[in-house]
Amino acid sequence: MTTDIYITGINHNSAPIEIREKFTLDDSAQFDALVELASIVDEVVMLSTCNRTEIIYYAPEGWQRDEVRKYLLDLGGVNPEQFDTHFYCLDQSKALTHLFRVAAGLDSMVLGEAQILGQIKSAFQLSIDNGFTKEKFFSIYQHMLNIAKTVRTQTRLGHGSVSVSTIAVQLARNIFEDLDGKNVVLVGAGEMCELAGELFRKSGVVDIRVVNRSAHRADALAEKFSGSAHGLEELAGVLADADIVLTSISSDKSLIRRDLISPVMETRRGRPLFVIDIGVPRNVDADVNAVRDVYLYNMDDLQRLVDKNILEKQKEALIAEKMILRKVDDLSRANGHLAGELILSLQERVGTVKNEELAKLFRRSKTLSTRDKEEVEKSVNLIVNKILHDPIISLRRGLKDEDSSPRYIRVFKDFFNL
Amino acid sequence: MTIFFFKTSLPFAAIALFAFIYYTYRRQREIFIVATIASVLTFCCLTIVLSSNILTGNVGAYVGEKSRYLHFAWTIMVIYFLAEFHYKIRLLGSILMPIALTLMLISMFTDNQVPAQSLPLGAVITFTHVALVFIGLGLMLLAFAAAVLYLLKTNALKKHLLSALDERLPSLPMLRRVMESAFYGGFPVLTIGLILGVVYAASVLAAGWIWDAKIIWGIANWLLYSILFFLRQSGRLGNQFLARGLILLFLFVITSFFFTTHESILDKSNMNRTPITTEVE
Repeated sequence: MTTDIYITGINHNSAPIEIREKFTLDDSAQFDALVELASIVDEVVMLSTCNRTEIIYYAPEGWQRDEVRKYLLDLGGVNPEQFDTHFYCLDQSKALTHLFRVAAGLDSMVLGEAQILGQIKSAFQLSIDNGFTKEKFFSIYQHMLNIAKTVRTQTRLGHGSVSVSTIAVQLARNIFEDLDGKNVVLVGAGEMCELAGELFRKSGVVDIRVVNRSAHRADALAEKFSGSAHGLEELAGVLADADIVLTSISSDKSLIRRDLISPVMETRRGRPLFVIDIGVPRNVDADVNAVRDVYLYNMDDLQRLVDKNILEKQKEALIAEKMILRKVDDLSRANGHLAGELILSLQERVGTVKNEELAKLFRRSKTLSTRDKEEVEKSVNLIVNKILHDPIISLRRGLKDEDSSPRYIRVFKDFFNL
Repeated sequence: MTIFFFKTSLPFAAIALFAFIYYTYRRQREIFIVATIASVLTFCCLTIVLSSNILTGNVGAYVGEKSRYLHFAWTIMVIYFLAEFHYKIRLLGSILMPIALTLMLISMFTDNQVPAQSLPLGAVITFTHVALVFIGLGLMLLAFAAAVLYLLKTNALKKHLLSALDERLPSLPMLRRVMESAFYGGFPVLTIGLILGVVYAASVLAAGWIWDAKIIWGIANWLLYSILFFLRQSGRLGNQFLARGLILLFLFVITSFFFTTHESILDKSNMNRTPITTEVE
């Protein structure tokens, strides 16, 4: 495994949408870009989503990286200052860490979202299928999938919604299990009720009733959901059949009070009622939540759950970050082992040459005494060790900087033909 | 052989016990898998031990002190495995399995005093009585476990806790289904089992058997159960009250189980009629 990887890209953290959209490519443009880039670098993968465009590549030579930069400047039509401000250029272990973070959803706008992994897999697959990647990136790809899976299974990063609407639907599912056949009552006919109605309809609710002061608006909204419209005076009757009630109506005083809901609940024989109050001022008295089988959530309650979820996700993200750092560290250390093996094989190779040449010399010079032979051998050993000393020391020093270690290994291999 | 398998089952039981309890704290799939594997191994060992005892023809092994704990533990495990297979509620295991495994561990410190069985017919009735009572109590334990989870879920939803969204704590309807199925299923089984026990006791035991602590506690348990059953059937017991009632019933049963364990009707019978006892592993 190598950490020999470079990433140049922009994302929602580094660039505003005006810049990002210049680099967002559709499938065919992405393929064309890959063809271009493949002629510059040794291996390349391109990730282009609505929030990020990243080129993941292997380019051992400096000029290749300069060419990638030039290509991107041309592609987006941005000037070098804009490029330097908004693009990040990562190499070696920093690039690998970034790739793993992206795959695990740690770099996403919504922390821990899973969609990015699918997108990054497709990007790698495209390059693999078309020969834009070789063995280096196969290995990186496998490690990336592996760490993404580990993060998904061993942390709860992917769990917990961070939007109020999704949480409301999740709560409804926890109360009713299945929303099919459930009866939703929208108190109010404004935009919020309309959005909520859409959301519940998408979640499988068929029966939607609209209760409003103005019959005209109630009718219009009810028609949209193929439901029924009711006046406020019918509220108690409508509540008796309701499973979910969403209120968002402008009113100085509470519309749903304990004295209204208690008799209604008596008739329902334990059937739960989920009340979501998103009206400001509130449309439902807080003590309605104390009535048995009524579950009342206002906007603040839902937002608090969102905040708690975010907090939980952040805690899990810290665990995931540690996992990724450990993985990158392991891979870098594997490079260190590779270097050790290289030194050993160099010493063996030089030792074999030295022994062969000494044997030849001793065969030719039969007048040499045993003591002379020992002296010659000692001198040759000293020469060989002195010659090897500097490159080995340089290699060891180079390996301490994990970013430059792959380059040292490569040069060492080339020089000594290992 | 039975001693070997019993001793083998104990480390597995300890692992399963620890893993199921730990799973409630850190709900990771891996921990659940470890707990399940350990409990399946425990169950297999226990099945071999109990089957071996019964196949050797020693029906008395079924009603011995130690065997009673083991059979009850075995029954709870079967009920848990079936419930888990059907409903996929992992947290049920965190409540049921520690009870079963604790019973197993208690059995280690219990002598297996059993009476000599005089009538083959009596042996069959006793066998059926014990089996039905254990199944009834096992189902009641399942209902209790679902009731605990139901109250936790309700509490989380009412107090707007994050666990209200936790999918590992199932939805209210799912928990209600488990609770009701086990509650309704357990009652007739337990009733038939108790009737068989009473019939047998009345026919073979000495006068005054009715005042035995075991009979009194057993009837008291059944009465409490039947009150809950009646109230629920008549629609006067809501879900939360049923859940609370089941927890109360469980505490009552557990208390009576431990109170009457060492003061059984069989011991009394031995004192009155047949002082012959045998030791069974």
